[in-house]
Amino acid sequence: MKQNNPIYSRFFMIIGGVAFLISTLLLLSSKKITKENNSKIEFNVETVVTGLTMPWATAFLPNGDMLVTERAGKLRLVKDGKLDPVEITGLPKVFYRGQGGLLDVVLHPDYAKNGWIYLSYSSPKAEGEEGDDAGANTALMRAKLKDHALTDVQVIFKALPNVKSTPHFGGRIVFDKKGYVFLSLGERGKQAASQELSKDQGKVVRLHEDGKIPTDNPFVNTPGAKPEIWSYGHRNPQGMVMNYSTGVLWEHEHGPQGGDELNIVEKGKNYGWPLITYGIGYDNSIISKDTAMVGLEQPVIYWKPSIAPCGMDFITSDKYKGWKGDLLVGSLKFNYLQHLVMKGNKVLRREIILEKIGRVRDIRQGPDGYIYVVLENSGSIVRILPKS
Amino acid sequence: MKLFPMLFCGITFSIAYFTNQSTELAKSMARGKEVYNETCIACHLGKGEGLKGTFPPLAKADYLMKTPNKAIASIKYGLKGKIVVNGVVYDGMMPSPNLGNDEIADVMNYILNSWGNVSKQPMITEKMVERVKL
Repeated sequence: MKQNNPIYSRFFMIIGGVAFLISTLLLLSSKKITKENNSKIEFNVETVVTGLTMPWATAFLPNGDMLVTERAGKLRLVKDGKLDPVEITGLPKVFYRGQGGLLDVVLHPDYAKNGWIYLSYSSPKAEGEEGDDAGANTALMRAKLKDHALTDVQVIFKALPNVKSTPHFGGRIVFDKKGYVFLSLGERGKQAASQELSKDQGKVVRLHEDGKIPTDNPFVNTPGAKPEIWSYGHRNPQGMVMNYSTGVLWEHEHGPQGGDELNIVEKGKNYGWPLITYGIGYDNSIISKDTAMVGLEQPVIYWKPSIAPCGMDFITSDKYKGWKGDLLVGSLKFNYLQHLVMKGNKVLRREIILEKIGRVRDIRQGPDGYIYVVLENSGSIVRILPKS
Repeated sequence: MKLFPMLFCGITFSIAYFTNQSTELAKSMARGKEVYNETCIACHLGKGEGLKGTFPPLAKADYLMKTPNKAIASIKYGLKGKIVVNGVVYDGMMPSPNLGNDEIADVMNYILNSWGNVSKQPMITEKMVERVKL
C-alpha cells in the first residue's frame, strides 16, 4: 500500500526548489557580465605632457616624439615631454562641430621605411559629393611629416553620404599585418543607415594602404553595396584594436543607454544596430524589444549602465604583472579605465582601475611597454607605472 | 469717433505681437529640441535629469535657471572644473559642441522651458548669445 507522505512531498518540493535556484544562478552567471568590481591595485600616474586642447589620440614616432591630434583641428608634436608650440601645417579642412573634428592618428607599420602617417577626421561636404549641404562625414588621409609640415597629403577615403547632424563619427584606424587598413565609422545619428549597405554609416571599412578597395572584401559583388564595407550594424565605434598574436580585430562602440558593446569584428558580419540592442533610447524609448536575432552578432560583453567607451589597447608587454594579453578600455563617462581580464576571445572579468583619472579619449601602449592615456578634460597625456 | 478703430488696431497689434513672440519661442524650442537630441541627450538624458554626481541635471536646476548666462557660456566655450547644481558638486568637463549662436539660443530656449522649467527671462536670442563672453 502506497500513501502520499506529506513530509516526503515537502522534502521533494524543497529539493526541487533548491535545484531551481541553483540552475537559475548558473544561468545568470553564464550571462554576459554587466557588473565590474573596483581594483585594489595602485599605480603611479606620471604626467607626460600637458597644455593640449581636447586631445583625441596619440602616436609614437621612432625618435621618441609623439604626435597628438586635438579635436578642434590641430596636429601637435610633443618633444622631450614638452608640447611644441608650433602646430603642424598641411591638414585638409576639418569639420569641427558636435562630435566632429580631427580624430585618430596612427603610423603605418613600416613607418620607419615609408614615413606614412594616417589620420581620420570629420570632413565637410566638398562640391559634387553626395549628401546634405553643410554636412560632413569621416575621412581617412595619409601624409608624411617634414619638420612642422605635412607633405604628400592624400585623402584616401571619405565616408558617404555627407550628413548634417553632428554625432557619431567613429574614426579609429587599425592596420593588420597583411597590408590592409581598417576604419570604424559611426552612423551619424541615422540609425537605419547602419543596416544599409549603400551607405558608409555604421560600418567598419577595409582598404589597401593606398585607399584602393580589396577585391576580396565581402560585398564587392553585391549590387548597390559599398565595396569598402567589412562589417556593418555598428552605432559609434570609438575603440578598435587588433590582437596581433591572434589576428582578431576588436571593437567597442557607444550604444544607446545601457547598450555599449565590445565586439569581435569579422568579415561581412552584421552587429545588429538598431535591430537588436541591450540598451534603450536616451529618452527612455524602446529602440528594439529584441536583444538577439538570427543572423545578427552578439557582443562579447555589453556595459549596462553605459560607460561611454573610448580608446582601447591590449597589454603585450611584461610591465604589468599577470596582465599580458589583457585589454584596457577607457571611459569618457566615469573618468576611469576598465581592465578586462582575457582568456582567448573571452572576457573572464573586468575591474575598474585609475578612478578619477579623467575623460579618457585614447589608450596606447608605448614603445617602452607602458600604457599611455590621453585625457580630454585635463588636456594631458599620462603614463601608468605599476607601484612595486 | 476714431477711438474704436484705433483701439481695435492697438489690440490686434498687441495680440499679434505677443502671439508672435510665443510662436517664435515655440519655433525656437522645436529647433532647440533637435539640437538637444543630437548633442546633449547622451549625458543630460531625455528629461534633463542628468546623472547625480557625474552629469548635472538641467530639469529644475538652479545653476541653469538662476544663471542662464553661465549656462550659455558653458555651451559656447565648454565647461571645465567644479560647479554646484542643486547642492551637488560636479567636477567634470563638457567639451564645447561648437554650435552656432543661433543653435545655442534655440537649445537654451528648449531647456529653459522644458521638464518643469519655466523661464521668467525673455526669450534667448542669437544676439544675447553673441554678447556672452567667458
